[in-house]
Amino acid sequence: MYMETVHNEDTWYKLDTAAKLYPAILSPKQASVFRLSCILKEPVDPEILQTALTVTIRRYPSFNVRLKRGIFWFYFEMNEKLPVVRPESVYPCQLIDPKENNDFLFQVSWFESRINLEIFHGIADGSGGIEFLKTLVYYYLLLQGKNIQTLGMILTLETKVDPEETENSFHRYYDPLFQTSRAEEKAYHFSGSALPQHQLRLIHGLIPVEELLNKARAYQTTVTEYLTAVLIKAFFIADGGKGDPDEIVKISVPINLRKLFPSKTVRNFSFYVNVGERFKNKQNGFDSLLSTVREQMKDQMQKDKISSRMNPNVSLEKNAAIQVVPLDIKQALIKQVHRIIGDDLFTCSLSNLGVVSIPETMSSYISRFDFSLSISERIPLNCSVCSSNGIVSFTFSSSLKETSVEQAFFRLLAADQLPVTIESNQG
Amino acid sequence: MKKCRQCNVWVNTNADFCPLCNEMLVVVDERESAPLYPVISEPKKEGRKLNFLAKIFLFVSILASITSLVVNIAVWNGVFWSLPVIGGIIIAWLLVGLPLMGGLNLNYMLISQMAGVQLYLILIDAVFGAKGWAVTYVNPFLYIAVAITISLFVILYRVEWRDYLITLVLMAVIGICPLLNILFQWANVLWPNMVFGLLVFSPDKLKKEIRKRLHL
Repeated sequence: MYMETVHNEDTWYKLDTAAKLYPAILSPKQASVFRLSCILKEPVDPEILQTALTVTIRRYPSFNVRLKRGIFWFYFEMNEKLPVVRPESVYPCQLIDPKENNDFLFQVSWFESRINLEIFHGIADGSGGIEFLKTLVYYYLLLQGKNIQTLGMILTLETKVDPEETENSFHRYYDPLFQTSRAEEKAYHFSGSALPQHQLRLIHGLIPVEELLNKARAYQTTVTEYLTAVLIKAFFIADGGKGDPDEIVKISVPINLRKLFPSKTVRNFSFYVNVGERFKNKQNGFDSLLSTVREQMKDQMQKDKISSRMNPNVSLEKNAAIQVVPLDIKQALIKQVHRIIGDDLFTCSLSNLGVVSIPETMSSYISRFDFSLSISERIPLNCSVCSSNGIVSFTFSSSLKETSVEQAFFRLLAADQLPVTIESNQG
Repeated sequence: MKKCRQCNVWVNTNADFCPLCNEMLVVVDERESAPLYPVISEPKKEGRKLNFLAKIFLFVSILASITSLVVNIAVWNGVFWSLPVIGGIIIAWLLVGLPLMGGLNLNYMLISQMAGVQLYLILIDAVFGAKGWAVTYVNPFLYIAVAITISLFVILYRVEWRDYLITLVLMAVIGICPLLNILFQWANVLWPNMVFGLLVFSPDKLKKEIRKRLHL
């Protein structure tokens, strides 16, 4: 099981293109942390989980890092300490304080039969994170003496770390000739009365995969398009007719770029499209909304369009004049720019991680996976989706007392004859 | 398992009300659900106590500074003695307050303390006759003290040398300045400092460290 690690104390990484944003905008109100959970069928044994984590971290050098300040940029260097699992004792997706976490930028916790992996977005995106969690659960079950195989679906110590896994794929697919402006219209923002600080309410909704797929097929659309349309409609309902007719509800849908630009990276490699509809068109009915969403998705999802929208980030990063600006000034600038426009362009995220594929021998020990996002001051509500073991799991994370969007969203799905089961971290 | 008739959804909870609409739930299955999430206790308030104490000290510091300044000007005797008093209060904050507050990296703490003490000594020197003793005698020893403190810290606490390497190099570089000024008069005292900084760690590791910190 043991292998020579390809990294040593001298290994270090530049932050990837997307990651460069996160340290600058970090605050307790914008933790940029997401949570991936695996719910097992039996209570978690913390000691075995700790051993599994100690093994897993050896397979993921890009997770085994601490954030350091250089003169011009942050960088990651190897962390020689060990990550420690802890019982879940705080609200989900809170700021990860490296000082209280052996300098790590991710955290593993457990509660009853659930294993949580919380990750600072600077080191990985959802698709990278889920690989780590799958490996962790694999070793956990293996150490428990379960008879399981990887079937090539899990990264283990037997498979060597491919240098591609830790690359910045934005650079590999960078084409300076393809660039367009990303300026777009500001979006409607949902607000309400805030929960006490550091509280985050999660509401999960569970639906059988087959039923949801059939529903999307009946509408002749994809699951993501269908859900995006339902979410926009939920905002129309939750707003209660107060919205300015010209305002636009825009859903930011992250795209896993690995599907368009082949890459094995477990670091950040995702982008987004913003899809929206104006309040004044809400009378046109769901079918019209759905076709608007479908058209916008189809248009924006073209490979060339995505490429020309992501290239400007890389060219900014490679710009010599920007490179030589000292880190602190750079941070302050990024923070200001983000404050002015960052969260203005969308109302809410709808992040669909897709199917978490696990070998069949493992799935009999697992109930399901959950995926949750953190929130920010301007975006107090986010929605995330993943599916596993035949269950689609929706999670709304919110810092608002009102549950009107969640209520409208799940009532719409239920009204569409989908059987919905609700779970929450409150009560 | 329970059901909400308003929302038309199943709810897996031990609570009586729907998390979506707060309406009463209908019990479909009498079995208790296992708890899904832990009960989160309120965050501890230790930090605030310290803050409160710090605020009192800050208030006293400001009050003392203003008082001494006012008295000094009102009863002027030709010496601006209140400046060293105010400086002393600031230095006390730097030396005692900074470590107490915690959170600050040892590198930044030692360097800011060193800079503060230097400035303060120069200030005292200037107020009471400008004999130049601070620059001539004290500063070189300060550099050595900081370098030794960091080296001891690295050795005794077995922390990672990488974190402190750059500071040691910086100390060695700063250490050259008085050396140049006084033209080798202090060489005996300064050389150990420089040699210490550069020899303990191999130049190869130093090169790697500098490349990381300076990458564009």
